[in-house]
Amino acid sequence: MIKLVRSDERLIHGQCMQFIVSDYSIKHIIVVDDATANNALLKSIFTQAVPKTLKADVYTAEGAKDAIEAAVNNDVSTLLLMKNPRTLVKLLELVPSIPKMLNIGPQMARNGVKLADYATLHPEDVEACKTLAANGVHVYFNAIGGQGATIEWSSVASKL
Amino acid sequence: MIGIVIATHSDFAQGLKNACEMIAGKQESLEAVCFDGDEQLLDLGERIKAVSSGFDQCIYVVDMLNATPFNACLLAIAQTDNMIIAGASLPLLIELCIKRQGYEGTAEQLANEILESSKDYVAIRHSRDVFNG
Repeated sequence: MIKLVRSDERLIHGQCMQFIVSDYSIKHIIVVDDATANNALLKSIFTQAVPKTLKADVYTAEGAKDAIEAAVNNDVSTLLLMKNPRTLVKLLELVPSIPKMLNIGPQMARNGVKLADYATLHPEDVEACKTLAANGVHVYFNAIGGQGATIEWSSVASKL
Repeated sequence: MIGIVIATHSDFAQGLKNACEMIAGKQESLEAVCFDGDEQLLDLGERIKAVSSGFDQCIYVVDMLNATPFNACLLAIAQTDNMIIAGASLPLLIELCIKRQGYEGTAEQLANEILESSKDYVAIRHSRDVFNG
């Protein structure tokens, strides 16, 4: 069961991940990022960065289909994690049954569009969010998943 | 002498270095690397690698386990035999700086010694225990 779909430029890191793992009782993390999946060094850094009770796998977008489908249909609390909203647009084409939500966490695009203190989006990700929202995906900003302040995409979209 | 690289979020690393030198005196082979949020992990790793390249032995000190400065240090030491201490604090850094002077063991032994004494760094003292004893 996919409990949370999140976009965080730094993927698995520090306290953010601790909060999310405990708030959503996460047991499995599926990371989808082509660059990380294709770099053995980065891959081992991110897969070791999780508590022993948890499993983390890193896939390319193309290679993630089976793992995501399995996670949609099983009982394991799963976090689907990617660097940016663009990736979710691609994933939804491959696996339409992904829950229609996107939590946007830290995004630090240079010369991007600042939509929250921690989230400056690449113009292509702004477009991706528009596409996602138009397709019924609940897009919202929250630095640490669920706790604390949430900003709805719908409330910032009107100002773009 | 064993070199030290402190890598943290924001300018904590530089502040920690300044505070440490205020107490333990000006330090050689002590580098601060500050991560300000919009730097890529691979770039930060390269920057950490560069500042430690002149050190024979090095101990890396970061603010949090598994956070970006930690991950960047892991990248920097991937092809080496080296270690990172997570949980940077002023007493930890001062102890490292003082103990490394004339230290005859390895960096790993020193790091393990510091880990042991760091268990006493976080403490609570209540006023009623101090003044009403």
